Formats: sequence, structure tokens, C-alpha cells
Amino acid sequence: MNQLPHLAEIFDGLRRGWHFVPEESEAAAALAAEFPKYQELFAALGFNLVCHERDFFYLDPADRDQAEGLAGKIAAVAFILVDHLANEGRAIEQSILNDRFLLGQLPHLTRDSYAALLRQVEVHDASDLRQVFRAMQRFGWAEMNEAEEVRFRRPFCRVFTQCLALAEQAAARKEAADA
Amino acid sequence: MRVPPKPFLDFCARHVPLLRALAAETEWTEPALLDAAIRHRDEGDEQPDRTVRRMIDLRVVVYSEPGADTFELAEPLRRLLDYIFDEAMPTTPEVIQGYVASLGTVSQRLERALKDEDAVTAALALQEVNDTLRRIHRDTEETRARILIEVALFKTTRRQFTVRDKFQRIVHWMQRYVEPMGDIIRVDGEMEAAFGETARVLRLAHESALTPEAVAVREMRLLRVVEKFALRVFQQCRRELQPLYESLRRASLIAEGAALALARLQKDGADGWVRASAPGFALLRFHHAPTNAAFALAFERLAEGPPAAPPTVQRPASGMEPEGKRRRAWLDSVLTAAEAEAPLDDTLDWLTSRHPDRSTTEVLAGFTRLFFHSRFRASFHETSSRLYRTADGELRAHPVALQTKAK
Repeated sequence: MNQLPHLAEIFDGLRRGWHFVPEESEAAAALAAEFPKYQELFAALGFNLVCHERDFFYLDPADRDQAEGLAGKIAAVAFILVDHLANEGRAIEQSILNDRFLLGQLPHLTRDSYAALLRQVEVHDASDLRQVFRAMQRFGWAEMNEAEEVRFRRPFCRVFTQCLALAEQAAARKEAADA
Repeated sequence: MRVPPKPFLDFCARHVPLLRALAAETEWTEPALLDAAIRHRDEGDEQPDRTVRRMIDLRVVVYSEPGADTFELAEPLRRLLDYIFDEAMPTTPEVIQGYVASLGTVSQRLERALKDEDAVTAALALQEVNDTLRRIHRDTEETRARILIEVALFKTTRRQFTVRDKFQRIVHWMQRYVEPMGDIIRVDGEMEAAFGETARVLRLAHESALTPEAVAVREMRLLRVVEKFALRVFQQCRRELQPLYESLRRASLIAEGAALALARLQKDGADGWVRASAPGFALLRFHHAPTNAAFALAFERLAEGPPAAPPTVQRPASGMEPEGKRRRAWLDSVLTAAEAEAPLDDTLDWLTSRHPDRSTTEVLAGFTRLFFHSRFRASFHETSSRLYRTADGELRAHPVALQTKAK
């Protein structure tokens, strides 16, 4: 039917929310090599295949209601981590992409303000938090080993992109209000 | 008011750590001065409140502004400390602009003196050119040193600053010192114009017999050195600060975005928050979707299988009615018979005598059917209980009368 390699594997991964990083598998490398063709094929089926500026691939949901509950939990956990590192004056992107974090030492549940925010998205305790990181793992955002040591993968950069977009929107609103 | 030099210098010599602490901040209230005096008090020192009083009396600290109730370290003392501890003070672009403007003025004076053949004024003007160029050189060097110290401290300090604080500090240096300096010293900027004009006048001085040739040559050389030096300093400062500025700007925006998202979650709750603030995930689930193999089998059967008769329900070979059907028919008959013979004085007695072959279960099923049926009204007798025999047992119960309900 078509000559695109690893199509079934790529589609199966994408439909489960997996983020493909080119250097990590043959399928991902094939996706990177022929991205425009894959994008055209998926577009014909009504899917938006995205290549992030940091060189990884995922399906952007047209309907944001997909996995909304889970997306909210992941987003809250991610934003809290960024906020915590910023308050500590650490280099946010380098820390997240290069360091390892122990689940039990994250501030998400130990700091009251963060715990209150997580309750808003139904993350109440360490078990819920663990499930969120497992979900991140399923989507290819992070890896967590048996010692509950978390290493974030490049697709986590979507959080940075989102933060920049939110800051830019706020600046634009302020500029419009001041004008 | 004149400050007595010996008491002033003695005080400063005895309180160096305190003075350095005061130099670290721009403004102090009197209670804060007292705290600082307490913290830096040595054994045998005077009482802290007396130390504060003496600082004010000796003008070690002065009021921040007339009428204010805050103090600052006296500016000459601050500069002395910087000199002693070799801590460079950055020069503001306005000061450099002032030097550049002053160079323009003294060049005009020199040119006028050369024209008027006024040797004294020309010599003084040349000296002033030299002083101004040296001040530009010194202050530019101090600014460079200060910026490099700040960058080094910034990179190595263990003191915790938030990303936003760090960015603001770098922005301060960029916007307050580096960028305005760039405007002054850039090609076709103020400095180039002023230096060009000064160079022209110095050449006139060199050609004139009014001034010593060596002096004019020296000033021209110094002019070239200072011009190149200022440009080099600016470029170096920019090289040091620009990467920090770019990376911190991005980090600051990321931190701001995360803080905005979390603030929105706190204020508005989770409803709608994900759609507005969070990255989405595509999860496509298959629901009852046949596989390719199932499709293939269906088509194969359609193409190759002969038409077949529809399936039929198989009756039992004996031809006997199913047990459930027979039971249902009996219960219906009980209903019909009871309605025909009502009122019944004792329903259980009527059932067991009419159907002695029925088991206890069947009798009770019949009784229940009658007792709860909407066509009948059942009522208990106020008599003692009786024994009723069934095909496989006995029942002891109080008699229940049964009447049909009026339609």
C-alpha cells in the first residue's frame, strides 16, 4: 500500500501518546528521515503529526478532551518542578534534562502550596504521584527505575515550549492593556 | 560641618568589618544600624548604641536625603573602601558622556588658544585633555572589572537567587551600563565625534610652535589608545553578559510561564485549566474494531460458503413439555380457580386439599402468587396456627382468608 517503513509501529506508538526521539529506535529514525511523508499520510487520516523544535515527534490531539484528566496531572507535576527549580535559582532546562530526581525527594507533596495545587488535579499522595510519573513514562517523557529515580527525556521540552507560550501570551495581553 | 580627621580615621580603623557591611547596602534605618553594630561588635568595644551615635556624629553615615529617616554610608568613605579593597566601581554612561562632552569643550578651548597664540591656556588645555582621557580610561577599566566580578560572582555564588532575580541582575548590568556605553562608543557615536574633533585640534597643536611637540604627540597617542580600549572593554563586557542574558531571559520566561499556569490552577481550579494551559496527549483507542484477519475471514466465508438454512430451536425428543412451562401453567390455573371460588376462608387449606400431589415448594409458590396478586385481598385469621400437609412435607401456618377486590 505504501513504502513508508515501520508505519504500523509508528502509528501504534503515536496513538498511545508515545513521543518518538530519532536516535532511540529505527522507527523513530525512519520517522525523522521521512517526516514530511509521514506527516502527509497522517494528515490525510485527520491526525496532526508534529515535529518539535527539539527534534522529537508526537501526535497533537485535535480534541483536547482526549486524556484531559491525565494531561492535567502531568502538567501540574511538570509545572511544579519547573517552579521549584526556578525558585532555587537552578538552570531549569539543564537540570531537568541532565539531572536525576528521586521521587521521594521531590517537593510536590512536601510543600503545602504544591500539595494543594496537586489536589486540584486529584493527585493526593505518593501513590498518585507515582502513577503520574508512570504515565509520563508511557508517553516517553521520563524514565523511572526500580529505585524510583526519574530521568526526564527530551520530549519533556514540550513543557518549556508551553511555558514560553504562556509567558508570551501574558506579555501580549499586558501590552494590549497598556496601549 | 568639618569632620575631625583623627577621630574619624580612628573610628574607621576600629570598625572596618562594620563599615564593609554598611557599604554592602544602599540604605539603613537606625534600628538596622544598631543591629549591624551589635553583629560586628568586638569584645571591649563601646556599646552598640554609642557606636551608632558616633557614626552619625562623625558623618560616617549620613541621611539618605534631607528630611529622611534612613542613612547611607558617606560616599567618599564608600569610594575609599573600594580603593582600599580594590573593589571596582562601575561608571555610569552619563559620567562617560560627561567626560566626552568635556573633551569637546576643552578641544574648543585649545583651538582658540592656538589661534590666539596663548601658550599658557594651550598648555592648560592640553593637560586637561590628558586628565580627561585618563579618567575615561580609568573609569572604563573599573566598569569592566566590576562587570567581570559580577559575572564571576554570579556564576559561583552559593547564595540562592531565583531565576527571575538572576535575570533582573543581568538585565540591570546590560541596560544600565553595557547598552548605553555601546551607544556612546559605537561608530558614528558621541565618542567617535568628540575624539575625532580632539584629534584634529591635537594635530593643529602638533603643527603649531606654541606647544611642545612631544606633548601633542603624547596626547594623540593616548587618544588612540583610549578609543580602542573603550571599544574593547565594551565588546568584552557584552561578550560576558550577552550569553547570560540570553539564557536567563529564556529561563525567566519559562519560570514565568509555569508560575502563570500554576496561579491559574489555584485561582480557577482544574475545570478548563488543561485546555488553556497544558500540553495535550493524543490517545486513540480502538473500540470494537475488527482486525484485518476478521475482515478476511468474513469475505472468505461470503465468497466460498454455500447458503444455509437459518438455525431452528431443537425440541426435546420425548415431546414432553418443559418443567418450567408446566409449572407456569399450573400457577395460572390456581389463579383462575381461586378467583372463581373466592372468597376462600383458608387459602393454604384450599391449595393443599385441591392439589395434594404438589410439593411444599409448589404449594408455597401458589400461595405467594395468590397472596400478592393485585386481584385479591388477603387477611390473617386471629386463630391459632394449623398444620397443612403437602406431597413432601408439612407446613404450620395461621390461616389466611382470600377475597377478590372490587373492580
